[in-house]
Amino acid sequence: MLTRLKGGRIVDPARGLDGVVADLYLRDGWIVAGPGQHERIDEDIDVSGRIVMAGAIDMHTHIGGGKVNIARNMLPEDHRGDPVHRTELCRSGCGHAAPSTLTTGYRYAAMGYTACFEPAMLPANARQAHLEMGDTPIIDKGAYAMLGSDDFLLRLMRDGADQERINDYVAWTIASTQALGLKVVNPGGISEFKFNGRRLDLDQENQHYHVTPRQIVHTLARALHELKVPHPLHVHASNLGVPGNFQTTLDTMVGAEGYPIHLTHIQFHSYGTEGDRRFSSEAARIAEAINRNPQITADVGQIMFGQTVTCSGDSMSQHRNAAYGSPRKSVTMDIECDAGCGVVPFRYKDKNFVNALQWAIGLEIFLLVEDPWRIFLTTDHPNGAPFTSYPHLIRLLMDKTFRRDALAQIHPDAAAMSTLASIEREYSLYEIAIMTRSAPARILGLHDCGHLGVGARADVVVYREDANPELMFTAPEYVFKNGTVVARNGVIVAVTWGDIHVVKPQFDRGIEKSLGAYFERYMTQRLGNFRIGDDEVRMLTNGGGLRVHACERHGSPA
Amino acid sequence: MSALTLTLRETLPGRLDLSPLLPALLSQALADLPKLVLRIDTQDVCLGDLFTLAGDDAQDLVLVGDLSRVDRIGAGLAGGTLRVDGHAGAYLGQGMTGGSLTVTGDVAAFAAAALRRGTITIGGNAGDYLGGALPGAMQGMAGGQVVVYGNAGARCGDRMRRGAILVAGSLGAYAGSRMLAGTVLALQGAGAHAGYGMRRGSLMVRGAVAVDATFADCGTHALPIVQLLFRSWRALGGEFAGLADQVRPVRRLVGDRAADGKGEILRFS
Repeated sequence: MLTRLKGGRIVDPARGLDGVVADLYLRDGWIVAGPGQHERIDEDIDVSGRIVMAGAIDMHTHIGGGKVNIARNMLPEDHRGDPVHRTELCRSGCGHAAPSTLTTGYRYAAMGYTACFEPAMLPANARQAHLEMGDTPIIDKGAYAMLGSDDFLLRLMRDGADQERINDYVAWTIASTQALGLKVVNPGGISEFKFNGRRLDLDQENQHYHVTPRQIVHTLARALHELKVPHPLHVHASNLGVPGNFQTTLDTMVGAEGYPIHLTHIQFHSYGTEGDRRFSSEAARIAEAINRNPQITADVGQIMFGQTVTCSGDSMSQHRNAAYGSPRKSVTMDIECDAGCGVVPFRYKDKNFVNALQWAIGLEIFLLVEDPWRIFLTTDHPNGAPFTSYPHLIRLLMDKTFRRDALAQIHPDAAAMSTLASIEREYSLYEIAIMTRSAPARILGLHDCGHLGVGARADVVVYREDANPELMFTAPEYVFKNGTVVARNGVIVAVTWGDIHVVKPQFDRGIEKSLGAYFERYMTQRLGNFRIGDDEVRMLTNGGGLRVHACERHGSPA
Repeated sequence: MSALTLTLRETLPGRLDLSPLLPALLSQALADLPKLVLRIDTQDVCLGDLFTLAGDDAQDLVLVGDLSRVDRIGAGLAGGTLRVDGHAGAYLGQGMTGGSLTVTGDVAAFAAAALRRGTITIGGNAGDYLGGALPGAMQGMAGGQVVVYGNAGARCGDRMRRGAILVAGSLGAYAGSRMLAGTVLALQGAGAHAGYGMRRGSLMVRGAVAVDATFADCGTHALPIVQLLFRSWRALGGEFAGLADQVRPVRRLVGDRAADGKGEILRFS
């Protein structure tokens, strides 16, 4: 089956194409150069004048795993308020802030997203996360395993284990949980919380293991580098949401000592203590540091006004935030020897000074980081806002008049403290394509996603250009997933099942000897039951496939 | 103009969800009403196939027939009047924000759930969770008034936050359970575990009521507020009319001390 998309304007930053008019050929789920000799074009779709991009990639979105399910359980009002009826094709679902798995897949695909990555898969919860991701239709999925507050690693570090042994443990964790990368959340801090600590600074020792967050970040960043895992360490830094935390964030960048790291939802980590309310924007300093350090990447974690729910592994910060929950309920829990999690429903208000400034800080970071290859468009779904707000966010980035009008609506003191009004920058379509396609594919090591070159998966989105980018990005004219048209003008027209993306770094099996004994002694399941094998994960993908990406060196330490 | 009257044609084969009715009356022409799609269990049906329509005043709505299998009657009512001549199903007046809703017969569970404002009058008996919280919600009824001339089922006023539920008959078990605030009155006693887990609020009971050990007996008082309340309910007629005729001292039991403990059960005769 050969399909030709005729005459579209190709925007494909991976190959430097910005609106070049060309035909695109899709055969059996892949992008190909053109028809072979005597080959017939089975289907011809005229997309002249339309913008053609690769399928979008959300590299940080909480779509599976224990905490999302807690959010679903905790928010019946979220479900009642947003029911989704079944259609001939789609099953029913519900949820605005924490949608059901099925609804999540349909909504992402209808918006032109074809791959989404769950950033915080606790190893103890990995099976649950894979079950949920497997139940999310159409889009490709993957997850980052979470380490850094787990007892085993902290014991290794306390006892001065050598880096090779830690590398083996990291690689074993990634392989056994079928992950694509590794995340650290409030390094050592979730563990500190279990010992009644309420704050852990970058150079403060965890009271039980006497290991500092700086050491943890450095050790894990180095491990991934040495294991050649493509995605650098995904870092949810210490002191999330605490005024003055920008210094911690800057120190964390330095603390990695040149090893590449990805700083996630950096908006929540860019706060100063200036002004009467002791809360201010340090976006400029953070952006300047990102601009200066080419080994650093970040996603923003933009907040949007309205109801949502915050789900995080950072039980320490969520315990602090629980008092601000709306509706006023929350869950903070300890999970095995691994870590913990906290779920707090939240309503961001534009007339609230702090929320308004958070909104402005996120946008400042977007606009002040110069290189769109190193800053990613996220709302940390659902923590900053549900992913359905992306088209609105894109309009805020692309249209400075719209942005200024929005700025005029927020708390006036927050607007006055922000430099947003003076920033002229407007993102181009090309830059939006970089930050939502090419760059995430590159940073995750996905060679066959995020571009439209020959050999890529036929994940293609066709947009009708509109003066209002929000309309354009809400309902693309065509969305192809693996060559099948899955959505047209925002309506799902076919339901397929996406793949799961993983890496398999090499390690010495000897690590399982001490891990086996450890599991016997401390964990609620045995090592053999804990591991998720290839056959099992294939089964869990509900008909999708398992895509293993190569572990290759991704640049040397600076 | 005359009252818009919907008369049920025949007995329903399953449970009908009538919640789309009021939004449709606001958004579309009356002539289109028979084409409104409703659901019986999992099947779509048109309103015109189930009801005959007469009259044209949507602010004065009347439903006629045995509507005991019709749920969410008057859900989201914001103004005007709605009368049901007969029985009604579950979730009557769910999330109502104004107006007045009257049922001549019995109603099933969750009547007046999440009521915000307005009045609901029930001529017969009410089911469980009268004025209660929707499943999983933090708060039940948060304003308005519910009057029942028959009895009410279990967990009347569950998680109630504000407003008044006045029952001429008796209450089932767990009356006022997990109440946050507001007033519940019963004139013919209440079942076991009255006030279970109540944090604040007043549960006023004439007649027998079994009180758990987590309530503290604070003695008998003649409270002016009680007389004022009784006087305000005189216009409701029936059993309510005679309450203010004499001073009625109340026995005040404070609890539930296993929860916040600032609520009260006021027993009187």
